[in-house]
Amino acid sequence: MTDLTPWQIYDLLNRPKPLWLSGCDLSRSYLKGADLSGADLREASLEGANLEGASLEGANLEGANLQGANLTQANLSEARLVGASLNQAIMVRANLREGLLNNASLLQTNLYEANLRGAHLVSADLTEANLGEASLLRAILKGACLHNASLKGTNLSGATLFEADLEGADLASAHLRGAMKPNGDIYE
Amino acid sequence: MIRKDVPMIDVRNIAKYFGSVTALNGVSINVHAGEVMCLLGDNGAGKSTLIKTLSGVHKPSKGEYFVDGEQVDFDSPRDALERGIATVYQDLAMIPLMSIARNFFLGSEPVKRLGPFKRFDVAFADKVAREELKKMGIDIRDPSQPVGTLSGGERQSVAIARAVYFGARVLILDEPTAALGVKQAGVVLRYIAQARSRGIAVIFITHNPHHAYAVGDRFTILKRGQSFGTFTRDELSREEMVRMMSGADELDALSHELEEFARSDELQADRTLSQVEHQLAESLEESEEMFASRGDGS
Repeated sequence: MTDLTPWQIYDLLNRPKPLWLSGCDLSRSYLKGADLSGADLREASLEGANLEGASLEGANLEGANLQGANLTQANLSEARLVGASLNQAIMVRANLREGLLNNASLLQTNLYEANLRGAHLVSADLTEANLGEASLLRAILKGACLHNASLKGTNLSGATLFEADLEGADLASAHLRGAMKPNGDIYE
Repeated sequence: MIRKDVPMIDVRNIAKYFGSVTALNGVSINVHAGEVMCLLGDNGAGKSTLIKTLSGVHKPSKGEYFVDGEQVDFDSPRDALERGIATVYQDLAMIPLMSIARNFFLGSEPVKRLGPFKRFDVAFADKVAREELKKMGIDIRDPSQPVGTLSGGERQSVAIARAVYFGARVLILDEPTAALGVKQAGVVLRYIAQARSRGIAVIFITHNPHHAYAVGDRFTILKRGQSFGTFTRDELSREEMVRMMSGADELDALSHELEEFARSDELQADRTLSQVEHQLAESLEESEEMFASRGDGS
C-alpha cells in the first residue's frame, strides 16, 4: 500500500507533465481517470491500483508492477511495458495499440475486447490470459506463451505467432487470416 | 524500440494492386536518420514493389506516405529524388566503358564554358569523384579508369557515393550484395555502415539474413506482400530470421526433396557398384576359362 495520502496523490497528478514517477510506490492507490500520459513509471509499483479509464499514452512502465491493477478502458497506446508484471490485471477494453510489451508477464490477465493492434508482445507470457474478442491485428507475438489462453473471436489477422506456444489455447472463431503460424508458415 | 523523433520515411498500411494481383497488403515501415532498416524477404515477397513505391515509380493503391512528417504523393522518381530519396538499383545504372568520374556525374555533368561552347569539366569531375569516394573509404588510383575495371563491390560503392553527393538523405539499396562474393559483400556492408554514420537513413533490401544482421538496426520481414513485423536486434536473432523467412512447410518440402535425391543417388551408386562387380566377376571368369583352355592346349 502506498504511503502517499490522497491529497499528495492529487498534488502529484497536477504537477507539470510528463511526470517523473520512476520507482514510486503507488500500489492500491486510486488513480481512476488520471492523466499519466508520457509519465516515467519505470519500476514503479502500481499493484492493485485503480487506473480505470486512466491515460497512460506513451508512458514508460518498463519493469513496473501492475499485478491485479484495474486498467479497464485505460489508454496505454504506445506505452512501454517491457518486462512489466500485469498478472491478473483487469484490462477489459484497454487500448494497448502499438504498445511495447516484450517479456511482459500477463498471467491470467483479462484483456477482453482490448485493442492490441500492432503491439509487440515478443516472448510475453500470456498463460491463461483472456484475449476474447480482442484485436491483435498485426501484433507481434513471436515466442509468446499463450498456454491455455482464451482467444475466442480474437482478431489475429496478420499477426506474427512465430514460435508462439499455443498449447491448450482456445482459438474458436478466432480470425487468423494472413497470420504467421508458429512454424513460420502463413494461415490461409 | 519506440523512437519519438520524426522518421525520414514513414509509410503506413501501404497496399499495391496490379489488377487482381495483390503485390503489397498493409505494409508499414519507417526509417530514421542514421539508421539502417533492413527489408528482408524471399523472392516474390514484395520487396521490389515496395521500393518502387517508396521511390516514386509506383503509386500506392492504398495507404499513406510521409517524408519528414509531411504527407507526400509522388508522381515520379524525380519527385522522390527532390525530397532526398535516392534508390540504387541492382544494375547500378552505370556504363562500364565510361570513366568513374563520367559515371559519377552521369545525367548531371559539370560543364566548363569557353565562350559560347560548353564542355565536360574533366578536372572538376575527377577531383570530386576522387574526394567523394575517399569519404567512403575507397582510394581510387585514377578516376578516368573505366568503371568496368572496378570490382562489383567498388561499383556499388561508386553508386552509393554518387547518390550521397547528389543530396540523398535516404538511400534505398536494392540487393546491393546479391551478386557479390563474401569479401566484396563485406566491402559494401562497410559503406552502408559509413553512410549511416554520416546521418543518412538507409533502407537495405536483401534476402540474405547474414548480410542484414551485420549492419541492420531494425528488420522488417516481408512475405507474400505482407509485413510480419519490424524487429530490433534484441527481438529477433539471425537464426530466427532465417526460419521466419523460409517457413517450415517450404523447408520440410525442400529437405524431403533433397533426401529423395540422396536416396536415388545412393540407389544409383549401389546399382553401378553391383554392375561393376558383376562385370568384373564375368571378366574374371572369362579370363580363367581362357587360361584354363590355353593350359589344356599346351
